[in-house]
Amino acid sequence: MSQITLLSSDNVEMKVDKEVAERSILIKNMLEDVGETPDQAIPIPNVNEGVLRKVIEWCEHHRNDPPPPADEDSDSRKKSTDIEEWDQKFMQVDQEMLFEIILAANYLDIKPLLDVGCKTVANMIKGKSPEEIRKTFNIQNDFTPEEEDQIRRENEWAEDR
Amino acid sequence: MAASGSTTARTPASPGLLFELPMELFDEIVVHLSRSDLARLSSCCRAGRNLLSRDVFGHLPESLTLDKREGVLKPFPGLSSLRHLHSYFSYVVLKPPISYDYANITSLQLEKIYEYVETIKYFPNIDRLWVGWELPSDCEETDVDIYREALVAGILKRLVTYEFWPKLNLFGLERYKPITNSEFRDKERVSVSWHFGGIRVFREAKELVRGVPERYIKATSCKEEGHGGGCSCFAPGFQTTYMEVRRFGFGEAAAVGGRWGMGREDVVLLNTLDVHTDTFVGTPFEDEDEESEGVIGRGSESEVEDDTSSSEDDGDSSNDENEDEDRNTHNENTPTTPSESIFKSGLIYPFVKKLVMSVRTGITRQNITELAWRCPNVSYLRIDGELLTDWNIDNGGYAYQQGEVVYSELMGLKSLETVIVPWPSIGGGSVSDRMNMDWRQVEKSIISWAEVGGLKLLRYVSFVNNSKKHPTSHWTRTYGIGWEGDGRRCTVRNVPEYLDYERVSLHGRISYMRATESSEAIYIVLYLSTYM
Repeated sequence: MSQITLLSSDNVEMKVDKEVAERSILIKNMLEDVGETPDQAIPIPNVNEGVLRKVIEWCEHHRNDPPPPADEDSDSRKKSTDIEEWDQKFMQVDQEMLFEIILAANYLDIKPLLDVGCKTVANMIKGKSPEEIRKTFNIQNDFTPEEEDQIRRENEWAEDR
Repeated sequence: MAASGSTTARTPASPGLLFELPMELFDEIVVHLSRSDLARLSSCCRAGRNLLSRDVFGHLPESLTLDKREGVLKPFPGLSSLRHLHSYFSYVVLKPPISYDYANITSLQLEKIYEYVETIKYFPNIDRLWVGWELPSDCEETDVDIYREALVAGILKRLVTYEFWPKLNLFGLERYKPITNSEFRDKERVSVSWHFGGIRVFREAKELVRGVPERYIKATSCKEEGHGGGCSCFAPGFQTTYMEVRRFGFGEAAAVGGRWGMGREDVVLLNTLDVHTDTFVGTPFEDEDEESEGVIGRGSESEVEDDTSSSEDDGDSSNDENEDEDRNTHNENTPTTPSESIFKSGLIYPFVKKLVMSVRTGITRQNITELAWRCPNVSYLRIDGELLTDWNIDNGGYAYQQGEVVYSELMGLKSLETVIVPWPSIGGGSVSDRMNMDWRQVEKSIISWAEVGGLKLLRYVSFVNNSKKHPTSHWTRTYGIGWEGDGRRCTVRNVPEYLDYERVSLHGRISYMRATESSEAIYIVLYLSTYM
């Protein structure tokens, strides 16, 4: 099986099976444009070594997954935040890494990974109070008490509609 | 956060990684959240609020119920963080049902009504508005129509000053009926609704009409005419463009009447126009300052009659050299002459061939000028009412100066064939007018219409005494018009024909009058502003 070399933003080369790398639509399109397996490393300028390894790990695990439907219904994705067990464990990383994976998945055009990352973040928000959310994501509360009270009333009003 | 390259380094004031994500990725996350989750997330910080307002409240724009009882209006007025959402709402239901004490119906409790509708002024894009109302305990069911109309008059008086008014396509009332011994209410949608569109509103305070019609809701009339429950409601100072009552509502209307099936702005099939208004004119008013805007003023029939009396008194002092100035500034019976640009910015009805005006309190010459401009191709004109004018008692009772061409404004109607107009004298004339009348002025006037004004098609002219003061002695005088000298010289002769004039009791409430071809008649209301 042919392999290709990816070059991270911090100049670390990683060899991966072409089939694994092609989980990234970005890389797949690049390879198709070149027409043959390149001898040189493919630069991934926006992804550092640590994140790229995580992404490759995910791609290797899902190398045999069927490709996602091209026009996946966004509503169907919205209905569920279910995440496979392996993916859940995979996403048990620090928050900075989680967001880096999301950004990398977006850049590399790996939609299923992006979806898993976003669902993970959504699950971290679900059911939490504003204060709990602030704690989880280290968000600074920049509202005045009066504004908080106003917002609470607005939200109550909106939920009743 | 290096992967996308689109984010910047965090600062001490950074809202957090979550809110630093590119928008498309942030959207990918929030799409998995419920509205309540979104609301809580939006409550974390300003950045969240700014990003999520649309998501939290995005379900609202098409429909909004404002119910003051529950205090739910509090989020909206003033400097609420939702202020920017006001523009999203296009459909508003206003609750709770409003009612006011009926004990003194004549003094409409405007302040209460104004306070009630005030909230919706924050919403500039309302195009459908439903207002709940209920009959107060001291009002009998038999008075429901009067009560409702007074209520609507009060509401409209306010609505016309709001930003959304020109966009309003529907104004409906929902009546609530209390069920005895129960806290529940039986909601009953009133079978009438008021449709607006393409409305021209005179926004300037001076252009708003002070004399609100006593009864300007014609709902019952429409029903009586079998037009399927559609109705028209006329606020002062605007024209409705809903030309075809039959097409009001839904069904067929939806196919032809625009977005909400409520009318159209053109007049494709129109061939008959009735003008109905209780305050078409005759509610001249004194100069008003801006503060008087929105205050229901005068305008009832009795008030106009009183004004006429006072005008006669004024006339006795006509030798006063300042009379003209006084009349202009103090005599309330002197109609305010609009600038042409005002009425000429209104709609034109070129397809109107037959024009019937039912006017309770009279018309002015300015009204005729405007009609001639709006309906230039009218061939049949009938005005039921009396002429109000800036008359002079020394003028022998005429509404015109001696030697002046009577109804010279009609010369703007070049297609005129038949015209039936009030006798042009004070108060519509009297019995003695007929006995001792010098007819020469009107006969010369007709000749002038034809020869000077170019009304070459004119065949019949009928003057009708419509005096309100002498309702039992109305009379008509009809002239036939011919041409001699190869059509260059007009001849006028008194003829016995009694044109299809339908006598209208000016003391009774004017009801819709059928046009002659009423089986296919399309009832039109051209509401000419009463400042005329």
